[in-house]
Amino acid sequence: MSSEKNIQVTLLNDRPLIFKKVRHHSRSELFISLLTNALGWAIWLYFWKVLLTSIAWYFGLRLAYDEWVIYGGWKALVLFLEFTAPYGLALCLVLWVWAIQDIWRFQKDIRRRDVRYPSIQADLLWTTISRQDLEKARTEKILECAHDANGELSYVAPHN
Amino acid sequence: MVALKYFSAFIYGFCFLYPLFMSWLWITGSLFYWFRYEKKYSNPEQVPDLSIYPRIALIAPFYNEEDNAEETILNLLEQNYPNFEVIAVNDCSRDNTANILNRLAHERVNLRVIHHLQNEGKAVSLTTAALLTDAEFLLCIDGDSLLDHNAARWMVRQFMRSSRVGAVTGNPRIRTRSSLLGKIQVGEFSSIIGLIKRAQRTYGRLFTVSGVVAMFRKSALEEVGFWSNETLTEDIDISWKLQIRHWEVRFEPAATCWILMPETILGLWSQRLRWATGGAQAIVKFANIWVNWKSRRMLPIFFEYALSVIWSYAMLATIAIYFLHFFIPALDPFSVHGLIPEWSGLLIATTSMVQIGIAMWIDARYDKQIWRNYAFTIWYPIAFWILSMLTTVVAFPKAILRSNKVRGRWVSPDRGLQ
Repeated sequence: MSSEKNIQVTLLNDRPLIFKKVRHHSRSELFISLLTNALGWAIWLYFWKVLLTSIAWYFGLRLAYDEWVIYGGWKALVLFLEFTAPYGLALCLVLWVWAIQDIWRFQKDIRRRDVRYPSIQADLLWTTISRQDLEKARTEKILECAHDANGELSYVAPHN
Repeated sequence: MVALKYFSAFIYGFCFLYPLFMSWLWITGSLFYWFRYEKKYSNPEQVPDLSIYPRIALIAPFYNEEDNAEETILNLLEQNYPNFEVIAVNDCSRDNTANILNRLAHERVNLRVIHHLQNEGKAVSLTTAALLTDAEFLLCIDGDSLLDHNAARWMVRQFMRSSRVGAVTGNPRIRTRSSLLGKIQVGEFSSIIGLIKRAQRTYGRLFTVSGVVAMFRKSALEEVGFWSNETLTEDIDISWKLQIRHWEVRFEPAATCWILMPETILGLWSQRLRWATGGAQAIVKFANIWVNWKSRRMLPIFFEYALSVIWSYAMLATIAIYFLHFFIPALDPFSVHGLIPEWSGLLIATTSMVQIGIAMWIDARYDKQIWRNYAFTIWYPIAFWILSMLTTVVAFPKAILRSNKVRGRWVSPDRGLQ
């Protein structure tokens, strides 16, 4: 049983819930894993190059100036924020408006009030075994079953 | 030539804008869901007391699960719910699973075991168990997962609140976190799968329940004919069948289920390819909703998936043209001058980090150690879109060519480096 209150599961033989420790990783595999992650961060930092170079620019480097001014980066960003981003934001707004009207609508409109309980007649439509066999099978503890070519339950009997 | 240039600029813009806008949509939709529903009603510290406890069946199908079967069953039997039975379905396993289940059935009162004489697949296993129980609600999990002891209460409460609810999906949490692949999937399950479910619930329809933990109203299943045998992802198929018949499918984040995921590239690829093929199968199977006015509410979900398929092909074409234009000057009119423009790279990177951060902030309530994986999920946005692109491109033709008469069977991939 986990010691955390919000996680309650039963574990066998002191097995951990979260497998964090690597049992059969070699050192080289572990090294490759960490190296790969470092490479991921390098790509991410490349994405943030504009931001990082802006900071560097503050300290006198010209790279950000090249990105933003010489190559017209700020113009492209302003154009995006002015003409394209509003479509994305409008999409988000549509979702919120829809959700609010949905909440309001289903406060009054209650559907499927006549929901029925499961019935053995309805179940029999999906199997070729008889009602008696199905009723009996539901009381058995260990069963064996067979199915026809369409996957329909066609045979059921107590397992010996 | 001018038209070609505009067309390629449009495709290039679509490749960049689609993931960006979807990310914004998932974030804003999830925040709405969090503040409107989840914050107050899904607090794992306040387990719900129900006025009645209808009979439920906890169903777990097993196929060659001798390593996990006992733990899964013993954990299910500890469910904090007064009126339940556990049904284990042994789908003709070739290992020792059958003997383990039989021994447990003799030892435990509310455990029943069903043995299939032939391997029939997960969908048939679930349908068989559903037919052989008189329970009103069926909570289905995988044979290698650990359901939280309070999950049934959380899920039944959703059914008690509305007679329209046909299914409730839980919150799968990853146990295998010993490698980079394991850790980035922790980020994926929160920032992609978790946020999409919340955003889609804000809209009112789900693309799919999580097959690893979902509860169903049996009368709803009777109405739609239970699970379909031919599909590779029975969870997507049943979600669509229920929602097309106007049953609501809800998400209950407090109903956690601890699962094992692949930690090898081959295992991950085969699992995701199956998911993508199943998604494509559903899209092909349910394409007729476009001519059925009563199914109009599923259209945005269909459209979102269709866009992701188009994006996959567009992105692959863009990458191919980018690399080919170095060697073939004739491709220069296509406006592919770089795969990640400077300022948009910054925008995508920032959006991704915010998305993962918000997802982990929301999910930290159910999985307190989740923040430890934040630094490792750096790969995820890139890996997700590449994996998603490649699996979709491969899966879509497979789904179209696959015969409907072929039974959906598969062998689980590796279960992590435990």
